[in-house]
This record gives sequence, structure tokens and C-alpha cells, in this order.
Amino acid sequence: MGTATLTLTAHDVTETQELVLDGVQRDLPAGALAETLARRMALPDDVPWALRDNVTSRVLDEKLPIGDQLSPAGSLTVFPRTHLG
Amino acid sequence: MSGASSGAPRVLAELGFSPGPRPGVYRGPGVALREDGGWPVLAAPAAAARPQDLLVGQLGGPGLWKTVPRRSPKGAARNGAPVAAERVFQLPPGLLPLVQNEPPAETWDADLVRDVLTWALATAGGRAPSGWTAPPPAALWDLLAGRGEDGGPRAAPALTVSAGPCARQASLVREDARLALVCPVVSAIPEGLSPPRRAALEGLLLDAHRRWPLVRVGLATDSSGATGSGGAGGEARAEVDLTGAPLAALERLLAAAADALRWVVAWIVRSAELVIDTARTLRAVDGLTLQPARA
Repeated sequence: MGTATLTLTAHDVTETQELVLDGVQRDLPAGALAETLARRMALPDDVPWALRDNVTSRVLDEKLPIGDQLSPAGSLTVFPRTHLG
Repeated sequence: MSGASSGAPRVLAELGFSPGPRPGVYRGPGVALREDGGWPVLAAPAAAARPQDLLVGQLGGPGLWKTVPRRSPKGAARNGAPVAAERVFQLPPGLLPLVQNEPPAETWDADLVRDVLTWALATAGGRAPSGWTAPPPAALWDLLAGRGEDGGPRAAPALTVSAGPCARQASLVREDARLALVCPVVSAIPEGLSPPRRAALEGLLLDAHRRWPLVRVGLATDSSGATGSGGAGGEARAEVDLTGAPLAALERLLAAAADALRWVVAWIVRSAELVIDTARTLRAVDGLTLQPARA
């Protein structure tokens, strides 16, 4: 378990905040990581948050482990999971 | 309850338990059986130990046994003085319906009592019961999911612990001779962590280890968690080990284990992350001077 971790960089969608996270479990679901990052960035807690891989621009599946989806660069954007109705 | 709903006191006698000095206590082979806040507890004596030593070498052992301080160590956690300790094997309330000298027979499931106590006594020696094999993974996930109100199967829980700015993923460890729910608290403790911060982290972990039934919290430096140096670095981990648990009790044990693990990790993970974050100044911790243990 001790080695099954990632180091990643994340910023919010306006790129005003950037965080470097060590020791992120590879098997942590992307959705849980998104909420964690949003809390650390003090983003509004009444909005669901999601993650986008900055290399592939792919939106990560919230239910799947982060380690199975993230490209080696480990660079993410936290963005609100909303859409226009 | 099965049809074997009587004769549990006889089962206790078969296993070597006899009524103790006061109601609610039985004495068995090397252990006492008592109730503590609604939790049936088997307890055995343990040698006095330095608090930080109780965090090392307990992870990975079979069953629910753990060695805990008898009382909150408080100052002893910082100065390293030995504290009185005991080994305990705690069971979820309701699993053994009552621990009384003369419990109503209809509340007992003698087979369940026999199986659970046999499991506890077998693992007291540090080994899984002979011949025991963990159920297949699919069956375990079904048990972990439990049943909905309509009796149908529910989706398996994700075992994700979210606590504000922290999240951890617990895992179900299943090998033929091992069954446990395991969750990291700190994946990698910084090697250069100062002694006061190390002591604060150990105090936090030990408090969780002592307070929370079912859950062992400790330090590991290898993947199995069976050994650890307790020195710099390593991993802080919480686990509930159900190796050897009888199948009849496994669904309730798994549910209780998942809940206990979730609560304890959510309770300490934010404080643990704060203590290891060397980029922050913690005046309440960084200014402490550790006193050497008194002889």
C-alpha cells in the first residue's frame, strides 16, 4: 500500500490556485479526489466538482480509480460538474 | 437466530468459561469475557509497554485482538514511560446478545456463541483457526453490500472515506488465510518529521487505536504491516482483521468493520495530515520539549 501513491498537480478552472498533492492513493475514486481538491481550494461546496486531465483533456470518470485514468504528467483541472439546462 | 437458541451458558462452560466475580463477567482460558458499553469484550493481560511501542507490530495479526493502554496515556505518550496495557477482542453489540451470568435462553444463539468465541480463542495465539479459508471475493462483496429493505441485494459500498479536504480509499484484503479491511491514514510519513510532531502523530494514532473498538491503528514500514520499525518514515494505517471469522457472523462483522474503519479514519485523518505538513507552523506542537522517560 505504501508505494501505491501518486504525486499530482491540480488547479482550479480559473487557474488562480494550484496545489501539489503527495501521497494520493492510486485507487481513490476520481470523484472523491475532486471533492477533496475543491475543499482544499475553498471552492463552493454547493456545487459538484469533477476532474479533467490537462494532457488528454479527458473528463475523468468519478467512480473509477484516479490511478487508472490519469496520464503520467499527473496534471488536473478541477471544474464544476454543471451544464446549461 | 437459528433453532439452537438455548444452551449458550452450556456452550460457555464447554469452552472453559465460568461465571466471574460479578454479574456480566465470565472467566475463560486465559481471558475474561465482559461487556463494555454494550460491546462484548474478551480481555487478556498484557505486559506494560511504552505507548509508541503499541503502534508497532500489531498490524496484520489475525482476528480482532489488539493490545491497548488500559487508560489514556496522555503525558506518557510524550515522555515514553511504560503504561499498563491489556489485550482485547471487541465484538459489535448484539453479536453475542448478552454477557450476563444468567441470560435469558431465548436471546442466545448457541451455535453463534460457540463459533465466535472459538474464533476469538483460536486467534488469541496469533494464528488463524486451522482449516479456515476466506470466502470468495464475490461472496464477500455481497456480504459487505448487505440487503436492502426489500430484501434484494444492494450495490457494494465504495469503501471511500471522505473527511473535508482529505479522502482515503479503504480496501478489502482477501487471501486464503487472511481477511481484513485496511485503510491508510498517512501513506508516507515524512522521514524528517521532528520528534515533537512524531510524538503528536503517535499520540493521535494511539488515541484512535485505544478508543475505537474493532480497529487497530498502527505504523507499518512494509506492505504486510506485520512488522515495522516505528522509526522515521513508514505508513500509518487502520485495519479491521476478520481472519478466521465464522461465516454465520461475517455479514454483521463486515458491516461493523466498514463503519468502524470509516469513522476512525474520518476522525483522525485531518489532524494527521496537519501534523505531517511541515510547510505549516504548529506552535502548539513545534514548541514542545520532550521529556525523557523516568526510570
